[in-house]
Amino acid sequence: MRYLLSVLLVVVSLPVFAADKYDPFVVPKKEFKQQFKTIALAPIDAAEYLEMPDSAKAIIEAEVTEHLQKRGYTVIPSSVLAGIRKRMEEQVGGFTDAETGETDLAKVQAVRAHAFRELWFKEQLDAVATIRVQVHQVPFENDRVEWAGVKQKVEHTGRGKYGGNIAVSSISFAVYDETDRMAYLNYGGLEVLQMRQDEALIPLEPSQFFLDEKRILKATEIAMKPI
Amino acid sequence: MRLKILLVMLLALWMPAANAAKTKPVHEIERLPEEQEEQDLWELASNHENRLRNSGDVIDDPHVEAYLESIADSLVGDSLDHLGIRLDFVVVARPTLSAWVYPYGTIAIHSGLLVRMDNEAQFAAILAHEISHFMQRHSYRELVSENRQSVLGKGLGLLATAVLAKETGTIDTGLMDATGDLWVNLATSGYSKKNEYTADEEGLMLMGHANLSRDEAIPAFQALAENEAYGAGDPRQMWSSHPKLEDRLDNLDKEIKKEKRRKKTYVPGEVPDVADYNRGIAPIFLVNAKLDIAVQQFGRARESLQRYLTVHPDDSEALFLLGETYRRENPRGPEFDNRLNAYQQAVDNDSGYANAYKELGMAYRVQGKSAEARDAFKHYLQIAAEAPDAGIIRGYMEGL
Repeated sequence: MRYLLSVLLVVVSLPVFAADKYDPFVVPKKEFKQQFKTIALAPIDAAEYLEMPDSAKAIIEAEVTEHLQKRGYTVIPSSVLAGIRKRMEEQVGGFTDAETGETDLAKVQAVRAHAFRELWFKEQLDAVATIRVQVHQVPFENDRVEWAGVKQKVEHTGRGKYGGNIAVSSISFAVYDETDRMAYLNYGGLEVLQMRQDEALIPLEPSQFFLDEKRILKATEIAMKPI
Repeated sequence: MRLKILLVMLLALWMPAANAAKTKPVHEIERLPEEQEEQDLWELASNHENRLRNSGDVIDDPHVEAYLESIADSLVGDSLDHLGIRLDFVVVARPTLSAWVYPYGTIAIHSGLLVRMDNEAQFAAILAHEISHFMQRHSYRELVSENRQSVLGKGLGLLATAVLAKETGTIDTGLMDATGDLWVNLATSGYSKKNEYTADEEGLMLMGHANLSRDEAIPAFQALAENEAYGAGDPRQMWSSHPKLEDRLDNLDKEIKKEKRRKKTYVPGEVPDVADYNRGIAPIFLVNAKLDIAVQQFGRARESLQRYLTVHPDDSEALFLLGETYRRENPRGPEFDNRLNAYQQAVDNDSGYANAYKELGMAYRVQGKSAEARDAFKHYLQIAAEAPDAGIIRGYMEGL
């Protein structure tokens, strides 16, 4: 088997899932259940270059909501926080700098911080949950890759069996308390973002992402399952 | 050919033991580094120090450094003068408790460790321990020791790097990166039990020479257990890692008692006024409080801020941050007095402190005190009309 190195994309570190040692609960599960009854969802966040369609976001949020409700949690939909953000974006006069045409990151940050505080002020909630589609580099062997609870094939052209590091995406689900302390974090493997062309790894087109609803649901389920 | 390889291997096994046996402490030699191998080690360490200094995490404050150097001077006296070496410091902005010494005498110390020490004698206990590692050339000894396996491969990694650098005549920075924070690992958990105990014992001796109370070594080392609060897990994985912290404390206690039994020569030593220490490291309290707030260690941040405020009681930033520790710990109350007092004192001392007015307004708004909130927001907007969140604050005012 030959080894290839993947060099693309911004990646985030992935916890070690080996041997089922990873515990997604930062606070003990029992305490989590006692402390959190109402959870507000933040709008789903994905790296821009993944070009995540709204339909995929809707699938994930529906699955998350159903999962939490089945386990007795009250869920405040992401539309509540999105509404607050939208109003605040208007109050700061939009994010685009009129002179430079560039995004004013200070305003983005200000809206983000105030919106969370306003959510806590306006709503009766115990926790905020963020859902993100994140990109990681993970090892693959013999054109197969395993990460965050899933195993998938690396699409390829050309002969031989290869291994190395490859870019993949995962759905992360995190829960934060009122002091912004993380109480839970888990990942579900979503899909491979590259393919092998002979001895090279090339990025797939964004139009090829989020096409498989079963994979989206499975990734969400893995991330949510311990709750 | 096989015989030749075998001979080289045997020589390699014998050489380190021979080198280790002749490694003398710094006061018994005339120059440092003595050997090329030690020179290589220094270059590797210097490479790590440079990367650390360029990381943006170093607190560059000449007054604090001068204060720390004065404590180091009181511990070593003139024992390094013949080598032309003066101990100096790198203060790293990290909230955890860690310290290590480079083989040429530069001491790296986390801000978190500095602020957790109650007084100068406690800091001196940690410092004296690190100085002892330097004076005994422990990192070089570990490198050339036949027992280097005891440092769990970290020393071996260092050796491999040093050997490669020596053979190629260069220091391979890429390899240094690959070995990660080699120095931090080696110097914080890599020394053998024997060398750690030697450093503990000699550290106590240095404290005695400087007329500092050796009893303060116990709380100083006990404080290392606080690393657990930062998710560093077992504190033994940090600075206190080898041998176990409890064993170290037992050993220190035993040594202190042994000293006390020498009634004729024993001098209890002093605990300098805590105010001196607070003054000496004052800026570090402020920096570390921000780090502690960022990692939700609000109680610890508050303790640092309160010590900083004993030196600079009118500092608006510290008062504002004090208010922030209360707010972020319990954003929706029900207790608001502490944060309101802190924010109010911040604006009383600096009427241009916009963020304190904003947080006053936010706190009053949560409490339903509309008039007070409106007044505070008004002040905020007068000072920071162009702030990125000015429009949002106006929105709050309209809703009051």
